Amino acid sequence: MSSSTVPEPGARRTRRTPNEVRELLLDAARSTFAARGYARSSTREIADAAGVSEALLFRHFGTKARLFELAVLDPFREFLDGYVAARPADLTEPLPAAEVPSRDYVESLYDLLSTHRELVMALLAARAYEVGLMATPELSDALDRLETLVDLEVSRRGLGAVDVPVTIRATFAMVAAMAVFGQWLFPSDALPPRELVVDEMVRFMVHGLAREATMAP
Amino acid sequence: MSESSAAKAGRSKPGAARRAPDEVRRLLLEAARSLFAARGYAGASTRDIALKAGVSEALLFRHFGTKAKLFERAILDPINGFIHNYVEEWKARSAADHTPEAISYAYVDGFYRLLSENRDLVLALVTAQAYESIEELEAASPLSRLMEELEVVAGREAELRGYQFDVPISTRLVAGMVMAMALLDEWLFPAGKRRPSRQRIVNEMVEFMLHGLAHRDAAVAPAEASG
Repeated sequence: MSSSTVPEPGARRTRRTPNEVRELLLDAARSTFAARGYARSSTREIADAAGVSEALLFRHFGTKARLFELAVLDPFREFLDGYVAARPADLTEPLPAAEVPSRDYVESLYDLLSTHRELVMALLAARAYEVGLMATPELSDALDRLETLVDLEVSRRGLGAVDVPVTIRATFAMVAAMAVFGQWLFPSDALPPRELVVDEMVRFMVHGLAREATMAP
Repeated sequence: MSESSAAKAGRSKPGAARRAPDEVRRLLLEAARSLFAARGYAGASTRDIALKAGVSEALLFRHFGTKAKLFERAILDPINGFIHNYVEEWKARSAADHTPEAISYAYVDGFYRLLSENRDLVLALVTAQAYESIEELEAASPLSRLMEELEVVAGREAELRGYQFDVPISTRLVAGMVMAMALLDEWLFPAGKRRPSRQRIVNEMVEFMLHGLAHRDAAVAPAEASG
């Protein structure tokens, strides 16, 4: 397989763009890591599954650890950035009920975390027992990009004092816990249906942020 | 290298050096905590744990029965202890003798501290649940049993103050939030970026909990509910 490092102008039609290669590798990494965990997945088989050379894998990601972190976290970064990108349109319309943006966020995030539950577990396990893994700032950076949006919601709705950076993380943590650890938190014969969990999270979030109604001590 | 010199030394001095059963138990739990935290359930052998504790493996089994039981005691005792104390302290209060702020703060502050300090152990527990088939853990998740205990306090508080929340689900939302804030810490607050103080993190979770559970449409005023 040819692996020339510099893409020449007029390269073959079938040559994939760097972005395509990146996506192929991330997809292959996600399915391999989810099935086998970090230690037992090799970069060679991930490259094979993606249909690219191992050298190209390392050129894109540097190390197996980095590929792993990005493979796990990228869907969440993408979701958060997509959520931010879709929101400004709302500004021109009358303010939707507070429940609308909350439900939109919580429900999609919960489903995404549930879909990638095994990967999140693999990340936690690898962090605990493998050496050489460094937590990367991608997720936190994406959460930071929500700040402007939440600041705006807080001021438009006249909500009370909210510590925005911390609350964004607390909400993410709550949804992640329900999606990833939910089955251990509930008795196995009393797991509530998804709708009930989502409804309760939405109410929790709407009222958790609405602090103008603070009761007198 | 004599692999069990410590254990042999322990056995060879039966008289004054003999340790009380409580002392043996404590040594074993300590060794188990450090090895399970470092290597996970599968990676830590009972042999290594016994060796580290300076007792024989036979004594380990005499005290705990199985590796799984030792794991449960080692990991869960600190968490169990916190939850039991919390529930005991708060379950029988009347509405007049405590504020919602105080009961929420005591929980979030204590639980977050405990989980942050024992992060490795909690990770060992969740990864064991995910990857090992341990009969004891499969029959009834220890986390779920703890949540049931907490429901007593949450349910009573809802009743006292007329809060309209789903007690089983909300109990787990709050516990899950605190747990994930501790476990995901390095992704949520990565090294190299400015990090809010522990106090700020706790305060915000308390506010989020207080207002998330109270102030719902159908809630009645606290005064009416305290009857």
